[in-house]
Amino acid sequence: MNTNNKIVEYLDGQLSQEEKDSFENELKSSPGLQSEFQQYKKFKESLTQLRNIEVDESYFIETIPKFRTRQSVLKRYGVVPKLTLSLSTLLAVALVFVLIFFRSNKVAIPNKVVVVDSNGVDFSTLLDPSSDNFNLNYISSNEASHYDSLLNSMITKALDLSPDELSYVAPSNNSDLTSLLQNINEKEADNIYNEVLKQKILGR
Amino acid sequence: MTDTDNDFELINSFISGNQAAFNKIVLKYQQKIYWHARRMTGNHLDADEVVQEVLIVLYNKLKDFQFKSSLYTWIYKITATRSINYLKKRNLRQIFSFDDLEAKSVSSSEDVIKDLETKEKLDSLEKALQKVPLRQREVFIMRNFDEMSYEEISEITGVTTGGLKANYFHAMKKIMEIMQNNEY
Repeated sequence: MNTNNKIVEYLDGQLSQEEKDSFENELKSSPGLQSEFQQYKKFKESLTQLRNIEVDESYFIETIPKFRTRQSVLKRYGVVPKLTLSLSTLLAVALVFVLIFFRSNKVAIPNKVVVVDSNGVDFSTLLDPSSDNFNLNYISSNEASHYDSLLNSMITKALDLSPDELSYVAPSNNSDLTSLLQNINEKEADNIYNEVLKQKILGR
Repeated sequence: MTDTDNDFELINSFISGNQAAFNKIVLKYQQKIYWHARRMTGNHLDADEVVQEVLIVLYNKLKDFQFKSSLYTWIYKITATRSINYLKKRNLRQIFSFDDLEAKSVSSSEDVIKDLETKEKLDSLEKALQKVPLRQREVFIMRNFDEMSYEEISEITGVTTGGLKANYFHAMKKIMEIMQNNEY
């Protein structure tokens, strides 16, 4: 046991009579220990002076009325104010997390739909002047048949049909795009237009 | 009539619906509650907040008191727990800068101690106490100011007497050093 600890225990009344006698003998023969002991003793006495402090009694007179007021507020509102505060804090934290999450993730862009004609050529490249597939003569001479093949390909894909089944759906005679467009009435054209807008703008 | 008998009657009277009995219990123990909270928190405003929290717990739980310990020990246990919980919350508020401890400690107009010399001495002690860990501070206060035995402190804190003695020794040494060297 070190000397500091012994001094504290002595002043704290924790030593047995035997230990106490031994410590007091040691204290008499050691000036260094005496000096240290006096420091602790003085400090301990200063603490005793702070044990019973005179206070303004009016504070303690107010304690009960203050408690009763707080109690009536709690009875009226229960845990609602605290709960509301906790919930709003929780929501604010959740909002911050959501914002951080979405800022760190790019908005997913739907894959580009590639439509091919009967020869397997991407239709968009046929109309793109910068593309190797671009051929003005090819387009003009085969325009109608390619549009027809595009239309059939779209119908086949949308309805998941085999080529045989397609013949039941697609018109066999006058099946070119021009005649098809001519047969569309105003209401159907509006529906198609609205559907295209939905697909393009809203992506659904 | 002994003090314990008196507490027993007050509690039973309160359970029967006598609100005045609760007031009497508060009047009897409020200074003990206040001073423990004050020494633990280091300022009057926080101590006042802890006192109010303790009274609310006391009011709600008094009907469940089973006389397994004295009422004083039970109230002291509530006060010690509430003080530590309050300090943990205060530390969190300080981390997020919602709480200005300096402003609280220098605000003397709201203090209950009117004698300036005593207040200065108490300020030094309170600042030194804030520099030691909670458990060391707690045992230092209970031992020095409330003159509790280690057995009583152990009953309140749940720490073994050996652990308490070690905490007390470290607290005593550190607080004395801080106060002698004015290391606030």
